[in-house]
Amino acid sequence: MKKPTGVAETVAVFGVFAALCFVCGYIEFLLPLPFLVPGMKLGLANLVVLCALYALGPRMAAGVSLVRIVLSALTFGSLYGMMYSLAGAVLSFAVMVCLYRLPCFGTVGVSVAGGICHNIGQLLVAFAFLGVGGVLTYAPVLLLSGAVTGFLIGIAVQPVLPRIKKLL
Amino acid sequence: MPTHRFLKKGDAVLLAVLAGAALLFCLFYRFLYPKAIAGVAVVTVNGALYGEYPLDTAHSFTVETADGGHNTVVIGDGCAAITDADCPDRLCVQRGRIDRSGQTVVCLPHGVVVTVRGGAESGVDN
Repeated sequence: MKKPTGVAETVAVFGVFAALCFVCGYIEFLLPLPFLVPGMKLGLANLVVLCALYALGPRMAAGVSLVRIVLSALTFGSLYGMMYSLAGAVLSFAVMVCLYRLPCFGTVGVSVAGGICHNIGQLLVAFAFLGVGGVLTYAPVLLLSGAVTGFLIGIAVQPVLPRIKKLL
Repeated sequence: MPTHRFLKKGDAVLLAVLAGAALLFCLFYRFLYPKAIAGVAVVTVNGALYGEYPLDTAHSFTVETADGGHNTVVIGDGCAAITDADCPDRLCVQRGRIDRSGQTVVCLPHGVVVTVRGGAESGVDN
């Protein structure tokens, strides 16, 4: 694997990943999972963030994730919604980077932890805004869905990653 | 290399821990968590209170609505249910029994709502 060298190359690669991430978020926005809980998502965007993490390193991946959230919020969401995504993404990314640095974890573990933490972050924000009660009744389902989607994304990354690295 | 193996040791451990936690939670929820303690079934018709009935005493009655419909409500054993109704869709009957705080049985055509109140919350809070 070759990390992008020049500034131009870095910017170009970063742009491609950010765009991809944004589009994945948009696809998800168009096709919400039609069942269970509001807020439950496949986390396609996290697929791209994970690829960025493994192919480009934590700093670039953090940038990709951040750019996607700001773009998504400005395009389809609101600043209020952005707080949810941001809290989810920051917590999830922090945990993912920690596990990524530990050699005993692979993409599946990183992705599962990320998926769960994403939902924990959002629940915490919802908890802060709405107070006790109702929010936490969603917790078990959201955590479970975070784990399941994280697992799927973690598997999906594995065939994608070597191909991306070949291109870089 | 991160991609050579489908699951690394840490992944497997993480998944096992999560599965264990989920299982524990389910067991806890299923067996140890008290059902709605001293919960009551609150019955409303078109938004107006019809009556409140403790879930631990057996009681059944038929709610007659203004337009001539009826819903038979059966309460007891910590649960409440609408067991019979002459509404067109009978979704209220299909809803089955409810026993946790916040759960509802709704009969939209007749405007009859049965809600479990009080006692334990249905989530993990409190």
